[in-house]
Amino acid sequence: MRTTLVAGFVPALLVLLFMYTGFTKLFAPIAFLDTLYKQPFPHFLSDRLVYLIPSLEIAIAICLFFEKTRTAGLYGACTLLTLFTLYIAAILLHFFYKTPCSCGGIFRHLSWQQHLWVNILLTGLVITSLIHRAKQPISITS
Amino acid sequence: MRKIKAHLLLLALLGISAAWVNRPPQASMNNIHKFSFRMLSTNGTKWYYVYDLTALNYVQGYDYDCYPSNATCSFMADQANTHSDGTGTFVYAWDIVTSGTDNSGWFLNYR
Repeated sequence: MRTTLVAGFVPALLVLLFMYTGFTKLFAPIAFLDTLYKQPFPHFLSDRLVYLIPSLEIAIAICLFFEKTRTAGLYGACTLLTLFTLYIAAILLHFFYKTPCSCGGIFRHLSWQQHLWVNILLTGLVITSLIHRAKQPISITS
Repeated sequence: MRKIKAHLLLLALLGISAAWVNRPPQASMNNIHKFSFRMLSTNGTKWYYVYDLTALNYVQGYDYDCYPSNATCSFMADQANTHSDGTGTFVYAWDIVTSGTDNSGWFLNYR
């Protein structure tokens, strides 16, 4: 039961999540750019992130399709989620000169605190899945 | 051919469909805020992030009106949003109420 949850559910959840978040941004790039402009980093960075972030999300989702690239996809998801979690933590710890609105993406109605917990949960699931994959015996097919 | 699990493909299509259905309303160049510089309001209580009106084809007398000396302009969208740009340049300023005050200077002379 636990094995099925980790091996099957986590990649499926991530495919759904990253396809949704990636394409939401690509379908409305100007709205996403507007959200990025409200974040506490320079505009030249926002101009680059507007296509980089959705491209990475979709690439990670595609990696999760295939057994051969699934581990790489999980590492990518773990990195992206960890970076975003650290960014939210930095906001909540008032590392930046202003507190931006949490007005973009899938969880636009959540507060930053709620967003942090969701991200920690997702990151935990991805790490569990990676540990589970590392423990699995390598199958050799002739 | 590499094997793709059918349920993952279905979930991907579901994600793309949901993204299309829930996509945010498209912003046009008239409501995106690409700031040129910042300034202080006339009463000195608020910072505004500012961009050049002419770059967005705003027309004086139609989109906005300016008072003598052209330093104070009011906008039809928000008549209360009057301010001085201090230089004579026609500008539209957006007050980011929820974002607090920016003292970093990042937006200074940004284009």
